[in-house]
Amino acid sequence: MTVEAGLPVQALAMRLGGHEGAIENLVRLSGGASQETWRFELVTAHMRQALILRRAPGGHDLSAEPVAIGLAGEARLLRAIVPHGVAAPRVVHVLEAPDGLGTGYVMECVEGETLPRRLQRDAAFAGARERFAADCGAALARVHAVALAPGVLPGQSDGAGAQLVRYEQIFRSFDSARPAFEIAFRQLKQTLPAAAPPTLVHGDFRLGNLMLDATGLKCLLDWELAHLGDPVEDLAWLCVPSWRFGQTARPVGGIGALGDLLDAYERAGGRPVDRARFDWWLVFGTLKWGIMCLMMYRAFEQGLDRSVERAAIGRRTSETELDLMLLLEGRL
Amino acid sequence: MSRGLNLGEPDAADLLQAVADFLAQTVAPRLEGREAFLAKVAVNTLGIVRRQLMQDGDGALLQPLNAEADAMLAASGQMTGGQDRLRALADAIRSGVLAHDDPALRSLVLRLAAARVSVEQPAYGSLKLVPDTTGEHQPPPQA
Repeated sequence: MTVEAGLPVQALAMRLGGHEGAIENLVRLSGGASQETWRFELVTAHMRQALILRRAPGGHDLSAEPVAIGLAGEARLLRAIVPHGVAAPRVVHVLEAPDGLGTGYVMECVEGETLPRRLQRDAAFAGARERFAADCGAALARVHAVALAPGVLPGQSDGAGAQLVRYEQIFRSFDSARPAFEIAFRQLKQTLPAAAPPTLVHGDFRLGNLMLDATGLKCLLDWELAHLGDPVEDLAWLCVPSWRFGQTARPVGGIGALGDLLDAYERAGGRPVDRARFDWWLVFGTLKWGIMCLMMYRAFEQGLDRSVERAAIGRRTSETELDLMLLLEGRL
Repeated sequence: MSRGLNLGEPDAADLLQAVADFLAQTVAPRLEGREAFLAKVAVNTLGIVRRQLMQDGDGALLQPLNAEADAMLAASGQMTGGQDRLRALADAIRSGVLAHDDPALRSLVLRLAAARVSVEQPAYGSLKLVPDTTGEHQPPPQA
């Protein structure tokens, strides 16, 4: 079962389990282009517990997104929001220098499925698919209702205007000729929505970061892009065409209907969603993902991560160019 | 790429296909977790290279789009053609020389993007929404 045993976990085993503590069945999970995720079992004389280690590659934070809060920030945020009833993992331990594993934290292992294709197709999730859009709407309403204590996240709101400026700056630094992106930039500048009251935003709420079981949505994962901003960002990001994983006609994660998402969101206390604002964030999210693909390829180009995944992701930018044009033409 | 030399040897596409099949059929089933995922990515990546080689060899696929772009750029007094065609288009849109909401421009940019996606991800869902996409998921024209 153990595919990569190369992680020195002896110190962590003793930290978590005392002198008799041992770590078994350590395996790196497939997801996570910017962070490593490892599953393992903590074993003592009395118990065996499945846990998850989230860790920066090589122990160094290497996120493509410059405003990512890092794994320490993510652990701090999780500890702050779980008491609010947000379905997020409980943090067990934040890595410290003596653990010898760099930056990261250990959290409880929630059992379920995150792989988009399985969630979209497997018979076991037929019931979960029925309620997926409504589950997501209700879960996001709960996230957006959290009143965070000061200092948990950077105080500055990262809304539509700030993100548009930042991603254009990043894109310009690449010298990448993308006519579709230029059309999108001009359109987005013309239609920039008014600033929204700063709200806790997950920042990467999409298939792949959502854990489901047969009964429905269980847990929201990967909070490293969380920030204060416009809540409609989360609703639209879930519907970005790339996150439909081939099921283009079903806007909500390639599984559900948009009306179900927005109805459930408002029923659960979310502010009514203005359709023009949603459309703006849908186009911007598509553009942003295209630029993020270029950013992740940069890590390969600069020799920071020579994996085939990082190299190949640069070639996913064209899909976002196509989606942008289809969205702007009202065909998607 | 040229398939006309007939040297009785595998061409570049054949070699890439052989490596991709080896990875997919022999290597990938022995892997687990992240390594199995990366093997899948590797197979797909070889597919991109193979399709790009074939498209570069058969410029007919992109030629009408390139000619349309050159005509559009020429009509607005811009430099045209060659390797910098996309750059010229992008700059003209950014500067406003080409109106970003012009239906003809949007149609062209959409088809240019679709042509690239048909090489890089021929099974990508949104391609089905573009009726005249050129790609190997469509049957080749009869000789």
